[in-house]
Amino acid sequence: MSTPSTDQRLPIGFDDTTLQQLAGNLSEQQLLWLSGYFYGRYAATNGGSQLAPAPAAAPAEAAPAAGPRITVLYGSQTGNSKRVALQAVEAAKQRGLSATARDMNDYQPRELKGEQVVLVVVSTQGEGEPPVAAEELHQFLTSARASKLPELRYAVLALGDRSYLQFCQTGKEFDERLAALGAQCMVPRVDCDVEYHAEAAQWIASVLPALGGAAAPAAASVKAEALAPAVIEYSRQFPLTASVLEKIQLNGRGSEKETYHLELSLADSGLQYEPGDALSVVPTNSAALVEEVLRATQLEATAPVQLKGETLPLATALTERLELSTLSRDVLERYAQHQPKAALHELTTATDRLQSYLYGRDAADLLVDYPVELSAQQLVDTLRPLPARAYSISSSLLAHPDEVHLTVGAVRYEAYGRQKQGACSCYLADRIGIGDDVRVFVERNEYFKLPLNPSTDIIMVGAGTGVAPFRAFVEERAELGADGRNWLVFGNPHFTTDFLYQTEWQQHLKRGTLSKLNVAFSRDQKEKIYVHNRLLEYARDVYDWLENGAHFYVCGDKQRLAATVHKALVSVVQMEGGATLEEAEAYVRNLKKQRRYLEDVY
Amino acid sequence: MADTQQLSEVEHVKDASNYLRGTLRESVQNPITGALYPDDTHLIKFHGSYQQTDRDLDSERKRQKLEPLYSFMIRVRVPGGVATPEQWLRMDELADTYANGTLKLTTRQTFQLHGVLKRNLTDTIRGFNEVLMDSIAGCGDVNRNVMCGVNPAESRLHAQVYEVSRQISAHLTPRTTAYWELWLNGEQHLSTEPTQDEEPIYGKTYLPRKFKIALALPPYNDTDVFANDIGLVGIEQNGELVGFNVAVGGGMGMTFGMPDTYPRLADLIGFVPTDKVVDVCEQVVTIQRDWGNRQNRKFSRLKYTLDKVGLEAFRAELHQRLGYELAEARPFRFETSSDAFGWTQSADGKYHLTLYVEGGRVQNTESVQLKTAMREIAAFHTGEFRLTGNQNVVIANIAPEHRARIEAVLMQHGVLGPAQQRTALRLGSLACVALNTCSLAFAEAERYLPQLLDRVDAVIRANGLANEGILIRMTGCPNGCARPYLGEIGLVGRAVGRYNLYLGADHGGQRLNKLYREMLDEDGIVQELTPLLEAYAQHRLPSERFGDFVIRQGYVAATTHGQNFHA
Repeated sequence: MSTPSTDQRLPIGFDDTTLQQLAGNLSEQQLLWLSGYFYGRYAATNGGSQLAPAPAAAPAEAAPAAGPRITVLYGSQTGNSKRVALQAVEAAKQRGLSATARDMNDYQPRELKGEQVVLVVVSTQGEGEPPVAAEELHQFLTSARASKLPELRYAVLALGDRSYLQFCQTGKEFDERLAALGAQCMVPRVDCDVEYHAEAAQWIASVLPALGGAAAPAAASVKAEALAPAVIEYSRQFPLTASVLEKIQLNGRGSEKETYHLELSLADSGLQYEPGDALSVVPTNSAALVEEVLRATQLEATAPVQLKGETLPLATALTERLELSTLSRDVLERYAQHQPKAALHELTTATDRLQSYLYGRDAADLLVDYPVELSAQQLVDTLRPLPARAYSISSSLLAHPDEVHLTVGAVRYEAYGRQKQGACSCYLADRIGIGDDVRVFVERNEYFKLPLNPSTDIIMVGAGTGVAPFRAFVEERAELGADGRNWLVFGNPHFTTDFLYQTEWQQHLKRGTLSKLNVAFSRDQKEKIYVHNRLLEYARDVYDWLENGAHFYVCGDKQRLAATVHKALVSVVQMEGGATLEEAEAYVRNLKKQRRYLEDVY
Repeated sequence: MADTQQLSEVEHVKDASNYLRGTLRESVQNPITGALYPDDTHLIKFHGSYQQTDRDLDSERKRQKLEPLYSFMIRVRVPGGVATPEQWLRMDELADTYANGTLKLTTRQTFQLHGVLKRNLTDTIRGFNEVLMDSIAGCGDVNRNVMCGVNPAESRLHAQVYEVSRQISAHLTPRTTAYWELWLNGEQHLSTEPTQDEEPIYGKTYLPRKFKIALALPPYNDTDVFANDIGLVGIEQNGELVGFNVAVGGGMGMTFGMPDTYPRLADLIGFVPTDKVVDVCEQVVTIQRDWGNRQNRKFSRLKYTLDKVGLEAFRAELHQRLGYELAEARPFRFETSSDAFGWTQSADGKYHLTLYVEGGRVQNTESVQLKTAMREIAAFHTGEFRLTGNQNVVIANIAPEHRARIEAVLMQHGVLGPAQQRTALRLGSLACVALNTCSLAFAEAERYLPQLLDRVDAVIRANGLANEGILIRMTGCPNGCARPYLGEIGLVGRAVGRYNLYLGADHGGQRLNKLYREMLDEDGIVQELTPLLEAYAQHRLPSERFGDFVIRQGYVAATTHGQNFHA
């Protein structure tokens, strides 16, 4: 790197030597990101237009398309699949190929017969189910109606989460069914974990050359990559360091719950988000858990290990880089390779037993249950990277400029003889205070968004911390002066201690920025009352609002909330719409398809 | 009457309330808040309840984005303080089910439950109703619980005076059906409350302010009759109750910084035979209804009405409304306004046991399980319980065969026993609820007085005064719930940890005290009291009471009337 000429002399502290030192420890990827970052800052302050090339799509449109017609089909729940699909289309166009991205939600299954090349990008929900958007196509492919597709070439990118047993199940099924129908697989399917970006990029890079066209000039691609941070994209690799402005325990004394309201500073970060988005927080593991792992393995805390080209002491790797508090199948499988005894091997292949083994156990449990001698490096290679944890953002930037708020429930329980803690929730609860820094980045949630039309009514059903995005929604609509009605149905165990943001809701009610508020405090009376009971109680209103075009949002626990609310809504439609069970189910399914029934469940 | 523009806010609320209904039903059902709508907070008092918050938690909860921890104090009317074992058991149970697990025995012989959440109000009131108790007129601008001396030694006379207190109570109970409609689905309880919505005595705006009546039978003034709007002193002749001396215009409350407000003792205006006493009470009430100040609630009590028009004008009006004149007051003598602790036996052979209840709080602590003990006793006791005006309890009319058993239960739970050797000072002490639930309190009282007494007791013992009854009374504000201006030592909260010290009331409740020192902290209180108690121990005359001593020695001047209380 050359020293800037005199007229570009940098301020003190940015001399060449210092910059060399600063850059010395950075990986190639990090250097690339930083160059993009500074370019982005430059472009932002200079209007950016002069240096920024026209949108990359433009030249592709101008150039005659070559090669086969490519359809990139995405089935997305949170928008990740859509993002990858658009990236693939972009990359294809840069090669001069003709490509279109199509949402499975709007795709007629019969169109498949006319396709030449299909690239499938699809996520998996919960225990192996397809996202709502992909349901219809998925069902069609697995049905007897699906005709042979011998002319079709395809590739599948599956998005998923390794901590679930049915990892990337939907992607696998698309792959299997397309193959079974005679389509030709161009490249092997790639299954991505939560950190999908790198693998997705590789998949795109590997599939496109098989379709012809010319590789885009290297310069252009570098430019495109460098351009990306113009709106700064913080990520797992490059999180924003944000300081904690406020931290409040929201539950009153005597509550069994422990919910924190956190306010983080976004000052000068350029980080943007919209209500409905999530904020991922990069945690560190607790010293106690790291200690347990070290004790179980009899390894030295200071033992040097290699991790992504870096050398660190084992304890640091365990604290900052590796997942310890949950176990997943892949970890067990890798661990089993070091384990001579048959018991663990059997466990990894017996799905139901494996599931019950994984539940509530952490890395220390595994190391104690199936002891084996491991080197520090082997341990590090066995564990999976410590993922960031995403929390629905509970603030609106309009209401709180330069801030992002989170509503986090501390997870604590006892299992297998030890006190267990949610890695990130207890990191925030116990180890982070006002003035401390946390590393964060935004996870966009493409669909869990306010209606575009400010006059559209919304019904928000949130239990516990599930109320978080609705605080953001109501704040945003209040700031915008949106005239659509806002109805919140909130549930938690106790009125006196667990009415999260009670005084704010009261103010919104008084001001009319909340039209209706129903509460279900499950433990305040003999019979338990939950949010779905309130929906049934106010069935007439729910149905009227829906008929009037309302959007219906659910946020909270996937196991307990999502299914019961869905069922209640079907009952509401049956009761108030005079529909049969089947008709009511179709009605609700249609709401989901129209993206008027949106879930943010976890 | 002044024009309506100037009526106080509460007068408008009462007027618009349709006989105390207001929007209470909607208020109670609103699930978004633990509070009532503001207007209804006035009306709920007439139903026996105050909306309160846990003031210890107010600022913490505000930060937590939670509203204050609203809850309700419910005061159950117990005319004359007499409760059956069944009623005691029910209150004990309701305290655990819906309140904070304790029963507060008040200075007006009622039960108070604290910490009842709004959603449990209805079930709690239903719980009273099932054992023939109610909370109607427990608070509010009406005649409150009628007090009657407990008089453990004279059960026959007690029965006669108690009967009069019940008659007065029944006669002056509001007639509105709102209470039954709101809390009991319209069902009338089994007692004798009438049903139609008119208020022949009160009218639809009720009284300008609260109204209090107490009865006592000399020589015991355990109800502090002169602190009441109407004080009735029972006159006995040959072992029979013949009538009452009538005193009017007593009241304790005042406001700091407003010398126009003052505590005042009732003035004797004559004697009335027993069969006319209800009539006299009604007419005093109606004069106050018509003449009382409805513009400024600080001057609404009968005592101010009386001092405005003069005693003679008042008496003339009363005689006119009665259609006859009161006879001359009969001679009587009060010796003490404290309780007579321990065992007594009455002429019918029944036993009575007066128990000290610290701060009037029936609860279980590590060392003393009073609540459990009382519950166990109530399960077999065939007599009754009498709540005293000093926040204590008499287990009355104990069958002789139960005496040993009751003693055993009390010993077992630490209520009686060697550890319970208290000074007479402590036994006679009174404290109001104050912090953390009373919204008026500036300072601690019930939670703090025992701790202060630990230090004062040391001085008392060091000076050989452990058996000298000295009335000490503490309140967290100047409104006077624990009748602090009748304390030989009165401590009235000014700010957290700071009290005004009053001295010089007599021991029988017939002379108010006077301000001695202001804004004392705990050390200051002990430092001020120590030399006084030392002097009392050394220089008192035979059987001279502490309140009389400090006046004779010139520490304070005697207060001869409420109007010279501040002089």
